[in-house]
Amino acid sequence: MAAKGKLTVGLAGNPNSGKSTIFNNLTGAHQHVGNYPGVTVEKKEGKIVYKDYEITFVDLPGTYSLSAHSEDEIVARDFIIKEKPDIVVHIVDASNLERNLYLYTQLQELEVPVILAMNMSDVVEKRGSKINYAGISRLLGKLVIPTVGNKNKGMDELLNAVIDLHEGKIRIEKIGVDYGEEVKSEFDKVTAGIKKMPDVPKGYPLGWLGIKLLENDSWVTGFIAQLHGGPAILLEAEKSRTHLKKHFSDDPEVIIADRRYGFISGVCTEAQTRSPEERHDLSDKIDKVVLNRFLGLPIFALVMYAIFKFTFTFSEPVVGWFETFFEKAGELAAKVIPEGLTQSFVVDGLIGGVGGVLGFFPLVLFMFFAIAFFEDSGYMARAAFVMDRIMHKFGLHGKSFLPMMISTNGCAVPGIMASRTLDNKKDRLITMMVTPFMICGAKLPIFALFIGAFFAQEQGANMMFLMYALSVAIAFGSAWILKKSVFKGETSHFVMELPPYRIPTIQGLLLKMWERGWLYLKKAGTIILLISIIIWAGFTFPQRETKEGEGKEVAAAVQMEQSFAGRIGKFVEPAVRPLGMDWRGGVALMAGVTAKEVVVSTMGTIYSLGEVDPEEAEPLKEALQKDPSWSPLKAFAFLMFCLIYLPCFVAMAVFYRESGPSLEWTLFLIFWTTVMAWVASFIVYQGGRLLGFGG
Amino acid sequence: MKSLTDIKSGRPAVIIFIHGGRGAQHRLCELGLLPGERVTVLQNPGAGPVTICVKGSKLSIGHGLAQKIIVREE
Repeated sequence: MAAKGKLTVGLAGNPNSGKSTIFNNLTGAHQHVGNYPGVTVEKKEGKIVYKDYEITFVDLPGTYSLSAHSEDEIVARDFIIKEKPDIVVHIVDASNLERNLYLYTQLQELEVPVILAMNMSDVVEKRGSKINYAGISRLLGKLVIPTVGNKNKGMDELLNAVIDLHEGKIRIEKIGVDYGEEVKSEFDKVTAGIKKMPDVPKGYPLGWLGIKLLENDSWVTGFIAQLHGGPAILLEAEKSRTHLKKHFSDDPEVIIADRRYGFISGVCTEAQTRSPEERHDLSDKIDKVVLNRFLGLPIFALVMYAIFKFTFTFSEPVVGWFETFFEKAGELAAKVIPEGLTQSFVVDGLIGGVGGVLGFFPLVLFMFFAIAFFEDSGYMARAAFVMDRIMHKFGLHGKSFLPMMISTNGCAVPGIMASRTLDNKKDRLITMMVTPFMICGAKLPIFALFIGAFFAQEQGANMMFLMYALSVAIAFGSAWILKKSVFKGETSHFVMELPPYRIPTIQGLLLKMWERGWLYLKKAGTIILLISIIIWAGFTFPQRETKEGEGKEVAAAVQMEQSFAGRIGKFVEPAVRPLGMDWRGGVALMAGVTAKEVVVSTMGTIYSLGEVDPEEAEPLKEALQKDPSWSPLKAFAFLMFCLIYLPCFVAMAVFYRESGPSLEWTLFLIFWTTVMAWVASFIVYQGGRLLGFGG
Repeated sequence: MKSLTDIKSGRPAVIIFIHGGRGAQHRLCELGLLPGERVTVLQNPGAGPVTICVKGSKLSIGHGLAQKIIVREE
């Protein structure tokens, strides 16, 4: 059967409206994650075939509005204007109609066919209120479909509506916001001016441009200014704005927002029967405890601890299976491939290097799962709230919490990019400077490896928690110093919605976990693999002849020390010796600048090459334990260095770009982190020795 | 004149105006914090952000910004 055609459907909606759940329901596992061109906002697409149509769903960023306040909003409206989806489905949280419909008033100004999906319709019913969907449909002139995303209800109805609307079986009307006499007449003037402009690119809704000029939208103003005859229009718009300001004694954008809410309020009163005080019953009760002045922080600490406890307790056996798997793979390869360079390459370079990193894959997955759980339940927004007060004391911002959280167990690269949500440049730079101190998913294996090797099993989760606490302390301390010295001045504002608590869906959690986990796997399969090969080559060449009478073990050790990488390690050894490290630690740390997992894979290669009999290879953890040159104190000092020292290349490149680009700030970051790492590690090692914790 | 930070937890208030930069003001308007709007302060710990209920949902507003929202206590 030939397909009837292709359709592109954009999914728009507020954050927390259940948009991702509906996207997951509609597209299942057929998703593709990419970026919108030129920006760092994630773009999710999914393709399905329904009733002979190939439908591509595009998940737009969750926004409250379509102004130019954030990159998310610009991306969402750009997509609608430039890529012209056939239909936009607006996912509305039916239990929060007023706030959610604000976005609708702007969507319809973009002149795109809209279908409203009234999500969480079950929550409304449970509360004893009723929504007259037919009434809303009549008042807005649009199709309205009730859905329950987390129970997968209403999806077929939604798909049928998409197709019916596309085939013209259903008509929709245009019923816009009544902005009132005064605004309307100024709007008409400005829009008439725009209509006369010769070179407005096709597809830009003129009325939308008009209203945005009255709102003094920064992006649209800039856009019009470039066009032929643009400056004259801007002058006209400015006149209109002044006129409206005089008339209402308020900014036009405030009046426009007011009219939109007025329009919505009309719709809501007619179409919704409310039971008094229905909202926030349970959420309120939970928040009374969670946001409590005294309990808020201990609860936050407890949640963080629960994440670690969960991750380490449950991933332990699975990590064990992975280790055994790579161990057996190494032994098998050693048996099959004859002794020589090829064998060394496969066993020591590939399996020893990449295997070391992949061994921690289950741990990373469990961590992602736990974090997704708290994100989807609504707790993370509270965490930002609880942290805001403290963040402020250290010169950070409530919103700095998000970049730091993304970086924790995730990656500093999106973390640094997420700093863009901070409006003030100084706040942003401070946040960007301290974000890389968090323990990212790539540093995690280093900590897991050394803690596993040198500390008792029962202490594992506690040690790990201590490291996380240290990372936070170091980030906050640095922020405080930076704020007191280099970045003096006031911190900017913080506004955030606290969504009602919800029970996350398993499907949603698993998808999130897999998405992030897949990126980890991809990195291990590409960049880590490549660097592992380079590191292996660095230790293997130049090859040297074994002297007569020399034992195999001595030969292997001398070979490594005299290789390229070994010589580099020997060169930096004096710098790291006071920290309790030898040349091997130095090499691993230097290699780790390419990507932090490489610290583990380099150790893996070093110890694997040192093994005389590859068929007897033992897991890296045991090899470290048996090596007399390590001790728990040395391991701790080493981890301290790993915790603080300079971010990986990619993170530095992103920092450079996002900081201006500014070479000075980037150099400052490098200098600052290296010095701090050395000093902290020195204090731990030498202090520990003085206190008698052994050498 | 009272600002949002002067309202105790559990008390309602009506917004009179917001002073502060244009960007911040517009952002708050779009979230429903319009002059004349009735809000309820859910949590005001005295320091740190203030949580309010506006247009049926909860917003958490940083202390500095909340100080710039001028209200009339009901």
